[in-house]
Amino acid sequence: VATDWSEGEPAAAQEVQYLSADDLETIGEQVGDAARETLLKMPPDLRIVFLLSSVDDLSYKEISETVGIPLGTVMSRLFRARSFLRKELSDAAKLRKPESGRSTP
Amino acid sequence: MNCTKTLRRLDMYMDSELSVPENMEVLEHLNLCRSCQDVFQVEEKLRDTLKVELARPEPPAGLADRVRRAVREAPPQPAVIHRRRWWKVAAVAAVFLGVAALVFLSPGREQPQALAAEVAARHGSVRPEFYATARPDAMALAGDRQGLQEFFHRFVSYEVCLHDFKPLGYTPVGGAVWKFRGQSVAWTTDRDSRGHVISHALVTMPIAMEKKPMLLVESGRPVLLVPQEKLGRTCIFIFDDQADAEPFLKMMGIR
Repeated sequence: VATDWSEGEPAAAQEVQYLSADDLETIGEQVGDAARETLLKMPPDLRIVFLLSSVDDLSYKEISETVGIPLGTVMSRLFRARSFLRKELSDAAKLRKPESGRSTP
Repeated sequence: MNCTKTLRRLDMYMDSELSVPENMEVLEHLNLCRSCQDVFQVEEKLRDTLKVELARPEPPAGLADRVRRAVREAPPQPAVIHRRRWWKVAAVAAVFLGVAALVFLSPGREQPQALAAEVAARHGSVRPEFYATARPDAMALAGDRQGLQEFFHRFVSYEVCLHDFKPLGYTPVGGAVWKFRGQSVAWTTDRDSRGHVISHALVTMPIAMEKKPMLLVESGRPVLLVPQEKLGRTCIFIFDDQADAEPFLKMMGIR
């Protein structure tokens, strides 16, 4: 299978920063709002790939055909989209935890 | 299979994109490793929530109405600027907008005149084939604004102008994505029985104007900018001529 990594490193070569259980708990019911805000900030190229995968459950191959980009590009964009989202959600969680860590200035 | 390898493959595992042996390896490791299992469970929960939260089956029924109402609630007199009367406007602006100019015409904001000139030049270059290229089954949606919106939201993921021209006898016929000021913007086109065209789009960019509708005329084409309430969005409409713009302004409660 010919893959095109030109838009970034192959996903397997990069470390993935997953969201912690603690962060997810902190965001709680606001995770939807936080994710929607993140989507607005996300470059459209990444957003469409992310939505097609996460909401519409398309396979990488189906996304590649729908958007008209190579399979490798689907994978690298999906990787970047998820990293972007996890980073934003994790930042949002940290903002919502003002009490912890520094109770005194 | 160790933790690092498993975590690298977790996304693809959850996307069901691994080969059968790779899949087995990840599964085996997850069964043995508590910490990777924890990561997996958080990720699974996040995915389930997002699938529900981000699903956009169709724009809410009342949204178009709410947008119209919001526009109607804007001050009744739009800032109407015609190129030919530019000197008059400039004189008025000099008196009334001296301070406002400093606020609204700051650098980094898109100048409405430049914006109008560019969109007016591109008016009419949207094409029905766009739907066919991007998504063959969307061709069936021509004439169905709700369907087209859904198509854009679900499959192309661009923001789409929600205004409906059906009451004026226009039907959606096509669209295009223009690279526009560094953004990809979905432009849709509506056409009436005489072949007159309205192209329109929703853009997210700071524009140097007040938060009320603004009508400009560029290359003989009326360009209407209608700022939306939230997120610095603006609906842009381009009409073939002034006579086409009038009924729309009336429908929107601008005139």
